[in-house]
Order: sequence, then C-alpha cells, then structure tokens
Amino acid sequence: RKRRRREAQRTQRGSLYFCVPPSCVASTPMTDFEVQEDKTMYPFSTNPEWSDITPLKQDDGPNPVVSILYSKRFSESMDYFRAILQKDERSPRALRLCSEIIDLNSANYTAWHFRRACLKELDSNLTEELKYVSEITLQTPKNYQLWFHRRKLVEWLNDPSLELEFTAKVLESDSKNYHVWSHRSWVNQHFNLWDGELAFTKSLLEQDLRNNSAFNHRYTVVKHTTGFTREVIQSESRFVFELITKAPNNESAWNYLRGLFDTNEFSQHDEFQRFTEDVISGTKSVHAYSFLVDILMRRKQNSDLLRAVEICKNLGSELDEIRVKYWKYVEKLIRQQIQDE
Amino acid sequence: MEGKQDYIFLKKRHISYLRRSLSILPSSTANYDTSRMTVLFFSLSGLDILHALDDVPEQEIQEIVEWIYSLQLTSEDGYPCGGFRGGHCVTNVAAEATPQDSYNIGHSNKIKQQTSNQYNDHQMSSVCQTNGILSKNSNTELDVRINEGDSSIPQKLLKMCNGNKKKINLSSDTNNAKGLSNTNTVYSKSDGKPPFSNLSSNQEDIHLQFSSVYASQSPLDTGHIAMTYTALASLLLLGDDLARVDKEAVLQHVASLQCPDGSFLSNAGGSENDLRFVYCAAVICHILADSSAINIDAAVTYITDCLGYAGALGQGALQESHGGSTYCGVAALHLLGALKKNAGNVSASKDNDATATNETDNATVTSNVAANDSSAAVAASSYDSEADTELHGLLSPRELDSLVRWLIMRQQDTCDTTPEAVNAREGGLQGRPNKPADTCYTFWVGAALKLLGCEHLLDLNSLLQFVLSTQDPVTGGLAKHSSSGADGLHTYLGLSGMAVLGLLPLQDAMPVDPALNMTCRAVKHLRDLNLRSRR
Repeated sequence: RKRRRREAQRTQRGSLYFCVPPSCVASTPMTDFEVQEDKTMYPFSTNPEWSDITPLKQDDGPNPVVSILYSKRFSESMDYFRAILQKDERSPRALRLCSEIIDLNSANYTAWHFRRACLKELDSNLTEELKYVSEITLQTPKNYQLWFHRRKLVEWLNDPSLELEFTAKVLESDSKNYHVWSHRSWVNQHFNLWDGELAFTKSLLEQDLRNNSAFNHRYTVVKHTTGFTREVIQSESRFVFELITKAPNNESAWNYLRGLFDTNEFSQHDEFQRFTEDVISGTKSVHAYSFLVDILMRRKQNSDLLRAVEICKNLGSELDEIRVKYWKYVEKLIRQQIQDE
Repeated sequence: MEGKQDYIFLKKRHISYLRRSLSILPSSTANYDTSRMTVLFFSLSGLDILHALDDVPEQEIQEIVEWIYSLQLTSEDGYPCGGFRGGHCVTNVAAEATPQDSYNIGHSNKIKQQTSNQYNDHQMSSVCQTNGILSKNSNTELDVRINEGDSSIPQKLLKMCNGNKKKINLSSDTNNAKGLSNTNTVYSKSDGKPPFSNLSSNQEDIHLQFSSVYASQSPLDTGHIAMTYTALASLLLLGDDLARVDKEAVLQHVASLQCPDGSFLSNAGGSENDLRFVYCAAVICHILADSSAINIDAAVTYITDCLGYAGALGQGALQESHGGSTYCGVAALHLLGALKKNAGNVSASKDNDATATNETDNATVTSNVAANDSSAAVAASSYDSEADTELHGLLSPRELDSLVRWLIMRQQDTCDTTPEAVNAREGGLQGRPNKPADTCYTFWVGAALKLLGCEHLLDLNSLLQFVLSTQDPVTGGLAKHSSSGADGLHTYLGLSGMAVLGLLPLQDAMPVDPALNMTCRAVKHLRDLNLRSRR
C-alpha cells in the first residue's frame, strides 16, 4: 500500500485519484470516509445519489488570470461541492464529498472547514474520522490543513492515545517532517504527556545523529520536564559528547551543546571547554572551533580573546573558507572587545 | 570549485516561465486552487524583478487588477471582516434562505452538551459568527457573549453594529470552558438559544430573520491573511493606487485573526497559527500604514518567544529554528518596529515618514565594523535605520550574534552528490542544519541577513552558482535543487533572493526590499501613495 501511494505521488501532484488498493489486500480496515477506487462518486452527473443537485460552476470573472487547467474530475467535484455549500447541506454524502475534494486538493481549507461542520452536525464518530485522517496522511504529509484538522479532532476527543505512536510512524518515512514534530510537541504539552519522550529522541538520534529535529525536541522535553538543572546539564552534555565523538563536525549536536551552555549562567564552562579542546586535538571540526570561540569570547581575559582571534583566522583561511568574510567579521568584533577592555 | 563552468543566468527563459504562469497553470497545480493569489504575486513580482512587468500590455494589467479586486470582501457586500480570497473556489456560493445554524460549532442544538468534551471551538465559531451577525440588516438583535478580559474587541464590534444599525447585547462568559491554547476567542452567540428565539420585550424589533442574518454569501467564503497580503502587494506591483481597497474591512479581518498569544491565524474558518501569518499581518498593516487593528506588543512577544536555543526562530515557541520562520520573524519585527514608531505620528509628510527610501549601506548588527567591501551592487533599500534600532532593542547583542551565526552557517560548502544531481553546486543555503540546500532559502536566509546588515558575509559567488544550477533550461524557472522540477515558489524566491543580495547585475534584476519582498520600485510607488494621510 505504501508503495502504491508513493507511485501515485510521483506521477502527479494534486491528482491522487486511485491510490488505495482494493480492500482485499488492505492491511487495515478502510474507513467510511476514505475515497476508494470503487467508491468515488465521480462522475456526479450520472450518479443517481446526486441527481437532485444542480452543480454550480466556478465564476472566475470575465478575464481570469493564473488559471488552473482543472481536470474534468476536479471541476465537476468542485461544482457539486459549491452546490452543497450553497444548500449548506451537512449530510453523510456531503461528508463524503469533502473526502473527494480533499483527495483532489488537500490544501482546500474550505473543504476541511465544511468537513468539521458536517462532523458536528452529524455527530460523527470522531475516532473513525481520526482513522481517515491517519490513512490519508502519507499522501500529503506536509499539508498544514491535515495536521490542523487532526489537532482539532484530538482536542474534541480529548484523547491523545494514538498520537505518539502515529507521529512516530510518520517520522519513519521522514524523520524531519516539521509538521509531525510540531504536532507531537503540541500533544506532549497539551496533555502533559512526557513519559518516554527523552528515550524517543534518543532512539531517533541513534538512527541518525544528524537529526536536527530530534535534538530540538529533546531540548523541548527537558525544558518542560526537569528543566536545565546543574545535574541535567551534566547528563545531557555527556549524552551529546558521546554523539559528537561519533561525528565531530555535526552542527546539530554542537548547537545543542551550545544550547546547554547558554542555558545556565553557572554551567560548567571548564568541562565544556575541556571536551571541545579534546575534540580539536584529534580532528579539525569547524563547529568545535566555532564553539571554542564562543567560550573564549565569554571570558574577559586578553589571552583568551587573542586565542579566539587566532582561531578565527584559522577558520577563515583554512578550515571554513566559505565563511572567510564571516570569520573576519568575528575577528574584528573580538578585537573591538579587546580594545574596549 | 575545480574548473567547473560558470552558469549563465537564463533571464529570458524565466520571463517566459513567469508570463506563462500568469495565464495558465497545468492541472498538476490543482493544489494551488485556494492560493492562486500567491502564484499571481510570484509571477508579477518575479517579472518586475526581471524588468519585464512593463512588457505586459496595459489591458492585461487592468484585467489582472480587476481579477484581484473581484476577490475582495468588502463591508458593502455585507462582510464585516474583509480581506481577499485566494481564488474563486466559493465566491459565488450564496447562502440560501434555509434557516440554518451558523458555523458556530459550539452550540448546535442537535449536539448533546458534553461536559469536559465540549465542542468549544472558538476559532471556528467566533469570526465566522461575526460574518453572519454583522451583515446589513437593521431589524435584528443578538445576544453576544464575549470572554472576560477582552475589552477592546466589543468596542469594535459595537462600532460595526452601530454602522449596521444592529443592537447587540454583550455579556461576559463566566463559564468559559477550558481555553485551548492559541484560540482566537473573540465572541460567539450565546449557547442554548435556538435560532428564532424571541428576546426580551424592552429591546428593539427583534424578529430574527436568519436568512438575512448572513451576508448574501456563504459564511465559508472568507478572506485569507496570506491572500490579502499578496493581493495588496500585487496591486502595488501593478501600479494600482489601492483606492478600491476597503481598508477598514481589511484591518478588521487582520484584527479578527490575532490570537491571545500575539500570533495570527490565516482565516476565520480556523487554521494553524504561526510566524508566517504574523509576517503577513505586519506587511498588510505596513502597506495600509495603519497598525491600529493589531496588538503590536503581543505580536512582538510572540516573535521573540520563537527564538530557540540554536539562535534562530522556529514557527512557535520551542519549535525548531528554521530559515523560513526566521525570515518571517525578523522581517515582522522590522516592520512592526517601524509601525510602532509611526503610530504616534500625526504628520504625514514624506519627510517625517520614517519609512522613506534610504540609501543604505549594510548597517551593522552591533555597533562594530562590517566588512562591506566585496559585496555586489548594493541595493537602495527602503528599510529604515530607525526601525533597525527598534529591532536591535528587542534582541540582545548576544542574541543578534547567535542569529547571524546561525544564518551564516546555513551556507553549504559541500554539494549534493546523488546521481541525479549531476549539475549540483556547493554554496547553497539550507533551511535547517543537516538538511540539503534549497533555492528558496536564498531569499529566506539571504533577506534575513540583509535585514541584519550581514548579508555580505556570505560567499556570494558560490551562492550564485548554486542558485543558477537550479534553473530549468527548458521550461525556465528555478527548482529547489538542480535535480528537481521548477515551480512558482522556488522560481520567485530564487530570483528575489538573488536580487536582495545583489547577486545579479542591475540590468538583469532590480533591487528588492528585504522586508517587503517587492522591488524597490514597487515600494517607492507605495511611498508615493502616502496612504497614512488618507483617511
């Protein structure tokens, strides 16, 4: 099923007609709402269920611009959608019509809005609806409306029990999907569900220690749970040190380390510096040097600042040539700082 | 870059691509159906940058202007909350006379009241509700419930109602169900009252004609903040004087979308809220030279709360720092700073206008030296150094330094080595650490750096080569990577990014204002309109 969806995705954007396999090979039961190959309502004009509706064509005005060459299915479906909106008919068939529109254009926020109105009016089974949303997520996993709709459902149900597992599943196909992380983070905060989150980020970082989103999530988790106490900073920095040892120039890890460093005014500068010096003694990591510059700039002693200047020179001329202008700029800032002292 | 041939800028191809998108888009772009206004903006602004907008015949220009205005919602149509739609998807849907409840999801009589699982979706109900309540009809009266603490909004509501000769009874909602974070709780019809309820006898004629409570259009036909922004920008690009913009309605629309935490939604039907829409709100208020509709302090707080541990801005607090949201936040701070400064100014003369065109060098982030030597043609930008001070006051020197560092680190000195990426170059900008470089970040990251006065610290030559490597030599336009297909967004942002950074000769690309994402020529037209003096 995943493979067919991906194939459909590759062919045409916005025209994902028949991306669902027949139910006999489905691994999970179909929901009532999902558009299935044998259950699409198109063509509406010959569909007896819709014989009472006069379709309402789009009115683009006399001289439209940026006109989309809609497919026949798209046009007709939208014509019936407009007619239903005009009647404000919030019925089961209207709900299924919303599914059709969403299938054709998941960014149509009016369809999602009307869908919610129908769900309320019909007192629909929201658990089924959540299943529907889950089923269609992988077709358009970066669609804002879909994730907003999901959030609404979870709020209405007041039930987050599926969310952590579901977001973890979606992250399997794209571990850095911003929408997924936002949703997961929202679930954590809204329902105060933090157990296992730290471990979750750890497992993702074990799969890919360059996953910037996983690092960010980890920071959020700590912030909302223990906070950045002295002990936590110590254990977190140990955690990051290990990852840096495996990939010494991983910016995501160094950013997190700097985040720990910045969090606590009384953080163990010495330990951070020791570790960083250790790294650069073994390998020419740009981010290690860059962090060392930050540490040294925090100190006020000339010797440290002068050393920072030397590092900037080294970075600009050799290690990080693409940023030669930036390192010159930082060098000037430090020199200014020396002069000001 | 060992012996690789330099790419050529395929100006004519891109002009063709943009002219084509102005008229017809293929069926594969059906997912742009509700956002055609943004595609229009990309096309017009892209053409303007390439000095090609003047080649569009005057008649066509007028047709485009008409199309844009046809998407506006005005108070005259009975819309209390205006703005522009993105396309004609539902513009001709008229609400029929069938008595129907509003889209107030919170109080349909048919839905059983549940205690803790209440459907109290204020975002959904509130402004959609007002779309219904405030239509032109003198003989209606409604009970309106507001949330405590929202003292400013009822005044606006009352003002609009007085304009429409409508009597409103305001009552505080003391039983406010558990507020959801980021809800745009404004006001909603009182719960439990059936549509045709008779209200008490000491009030005016109270016969509630539900069919006429709504405007003639469907309550689902609402403006969208990003479409409003791109509509105004497009009108400016076309040389329009904005005289037909229902400014009050637009401002009401923007105001109604602000959330308690300072961020904005995109439309009255409910949506996510994040920095993208804060930026849209800031641009709209800037163009209309009027910030009275929004709570600037709240918006600024939201933006600064988006600063993450990595040094840049996520879409919301504690969210991952990202190039797009960083741009939106920095540009919005810039525009809101200027707006705040101008809020008290009575005089509308150009001299006093703090947003007058300035020749700018690259103003430094701190008071220290900026190496401004080797940057390409410095664009005359209309952003204001006083507003910069405002921005710098909002972020500490250390925060600014971290922000610049994060942005500069987006430039990749490695290149895509996958087999499809035969023409890839290093030097591109990524949106987040450890993600591939992508043409659109040329604008998001480049313009953010420009606003911070540090864009010259990028390796502009290699960046240019990266962007040019993403050109599609057959169709024209630019793609996110050299191995992808061109699309409107990447085409426009690639061009605009190059223009903001001065990567192309002036005869190829006009300078672009980094905060407004329009050519300086369009911005000058805006200044010349002197909208602040218009009442």
